[in-house]
Amino acid sequence: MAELSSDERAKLGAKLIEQSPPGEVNDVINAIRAIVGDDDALMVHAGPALRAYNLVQLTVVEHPAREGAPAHTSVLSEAAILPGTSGDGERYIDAIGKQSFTFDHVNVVASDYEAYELPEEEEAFRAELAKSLAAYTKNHYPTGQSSVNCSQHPLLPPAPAPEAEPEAAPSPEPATPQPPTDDVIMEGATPAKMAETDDIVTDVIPEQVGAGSSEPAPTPAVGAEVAKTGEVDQPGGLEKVDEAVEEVKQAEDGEAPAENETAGESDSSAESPDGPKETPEVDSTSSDKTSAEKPVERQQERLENPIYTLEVVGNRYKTDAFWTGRWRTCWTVDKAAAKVEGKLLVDVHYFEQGNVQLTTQHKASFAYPSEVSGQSIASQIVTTISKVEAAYQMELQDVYGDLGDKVFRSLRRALPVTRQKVDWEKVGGYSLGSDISKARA
Amino acid sequence: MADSDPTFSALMDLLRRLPPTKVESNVNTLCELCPDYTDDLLGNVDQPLLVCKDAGGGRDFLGCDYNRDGESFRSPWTNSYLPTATDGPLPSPKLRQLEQSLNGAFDTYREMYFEGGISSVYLWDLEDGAGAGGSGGKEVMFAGVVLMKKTLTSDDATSPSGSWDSLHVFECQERGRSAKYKLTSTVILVLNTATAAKAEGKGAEGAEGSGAVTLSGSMTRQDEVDAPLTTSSAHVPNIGRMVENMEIKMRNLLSSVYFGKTKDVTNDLRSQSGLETKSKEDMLRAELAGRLGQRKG
Repeated sequence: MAELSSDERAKLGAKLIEQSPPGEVNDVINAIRAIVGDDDALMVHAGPALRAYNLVQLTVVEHPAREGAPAHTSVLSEAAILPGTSGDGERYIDAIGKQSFTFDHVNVVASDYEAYELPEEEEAFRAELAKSLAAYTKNHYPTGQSSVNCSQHPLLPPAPAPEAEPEAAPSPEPATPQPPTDDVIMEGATPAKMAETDDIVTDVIPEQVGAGSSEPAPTPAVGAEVAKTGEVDQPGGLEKVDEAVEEVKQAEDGEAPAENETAGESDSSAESPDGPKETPEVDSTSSDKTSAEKPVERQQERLENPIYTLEVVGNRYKTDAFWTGRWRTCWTVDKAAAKVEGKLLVDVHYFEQGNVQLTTQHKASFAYPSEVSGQSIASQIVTTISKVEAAYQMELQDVYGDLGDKVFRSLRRALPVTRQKVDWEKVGGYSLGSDISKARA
Repeated sequence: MADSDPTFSALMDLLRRLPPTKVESNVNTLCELCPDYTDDLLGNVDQPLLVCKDAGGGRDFLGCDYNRDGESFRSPWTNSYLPTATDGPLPSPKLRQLEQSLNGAFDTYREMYFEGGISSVYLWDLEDGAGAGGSGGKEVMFAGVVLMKKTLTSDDATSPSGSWDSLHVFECQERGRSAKYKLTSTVILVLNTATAAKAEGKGAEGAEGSGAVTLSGSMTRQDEVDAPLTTSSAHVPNIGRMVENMEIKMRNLLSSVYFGKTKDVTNDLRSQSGLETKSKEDMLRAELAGRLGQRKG
């Protein structure tokens, strides 16, 4: 059998990451690292695997407090991907904070915040759904976190501000430490890779200056990771732009502003923002730049029938008592199809001298509600969701009863029909044993 | 392989975490990643037992790493390797006789507890023996495994199904008129069923719901038993009782973990009654307790 190459081994190993039980992804990665024995090779494949894991498992991201917005969380998922972004430029929506961010799936760090604003109509409905869902989550999920995202394209941000003073805000970009529910993965495991990531992250900042109408989050560097990230020369440049509204308007009118030293030259080439950029860091963020730096071609995209996605995740990790658990629910509201569809997923891992796992998946759907007096559409939707989830939890209790009483018993009885243990002295076939004594004698 | 081997420890740690339903494919993947550890993985990771056909004896038997030689498995009914005959190891004639007795006894046991399914017992000689003790070279050591498997298949997608696989691996050391047995038991239990919860009531016409629940896993326990050995045939009741007691214990344990523990965790994740209701109840209770306390004072 031909030996596998390092890359092939890393690929095989990384595939196992997505099978991690709730709260144990770091333990799984550490085991895979020991088995593969080549962190650099593993990192190439672990990144995409962790991205998939974080999106599917509704990883909770903490966002620091900003002026006018308290610290809060958002949930990562496919539905949280900012419309129009992908690949290296993929961004995620923090609907509560009205901002989008990039996410380092390996180190579980959010950074490079930019303003995010939905059109008024969508935001009103989204916010109402979110409010109802948050109240429901708070009442029924002791550790629950919820998010509501809309697939509508966000309003185009104002064009970059004509002026940026790199020195103005020397603080690193707002980066959140890992939420308490998951630990930072692979601390310092691959400095080389991390450095690359740093470049990407820091380089985006100049754009943010222009694009962001939001207040900068003056987050101090928290922990070594962030410090490392921040130290890479970037002047941050997250200064307020409120007062720069006028300049922004000018910029929108046509002039592509050469707003900063690093990306200045490329800004002027409206043709292809990707082309002339020489430095790899700039390239890697080109998809972001594309939208931000082509003021001439900017056009508000719009979906006819945006989908609203409601997600709740509740995690409990009691590793000292040998169990972890996760409850996920994901509901999509499709007004055009007049349907609300949901997916409920429960995972429990119990591992005291064994490995026992409960996995459930359940799909449910109901009709998009019609206007009734007294209760809004959004509130009706969340009320029905709560009814389905309550019915599901009730059914799970019955399932335990059924499986325990009927299936378990028909696999193996607690005692024989005689209600007595086996009389081993008389059991059939035993008479053969006497031959053994003869054979030994 | 020593437990202190970091690669081996990592392999075992990983398999304790990854879904039990995928243990077979994951073991294959890990064997591919670490070919040097293939034997250690196959020997230390309990996988569902294989059902083998014994054309000669006409009866099915169970295959595991202990009766395997390459791609073939030794039948407890005919003592030959199938489907392809190999010159794999066979127990000594004396031990083979005990093996036949045990297969007969556990066949009865299986019928009484499982009311179906398949059982197989395999024994093998251990090399040591003569040197230790020195009581006239009479010291005997052997080891064996008692296997049980029962599968419930469902007629349709909505009715429940499941499987029980138990492996009781033991080592026996005869010491004059008594014997010492060391037992390691693993039960692999898988249960599946369907769910159908949906929205009900006004406005929920046309609501649908369908899903699946899987409870799967394995648990392992160990025991040591000293028992009198008046004749060598006393091994049958000794091993029988030891395995029976362990299976009863493990069945209770599985019941509490599968149907108690995971249910509790599920209800910890989502509160059916709602936390507001709960905290109101708690407050009421605290208030009552406070008043009662005042009265006493």
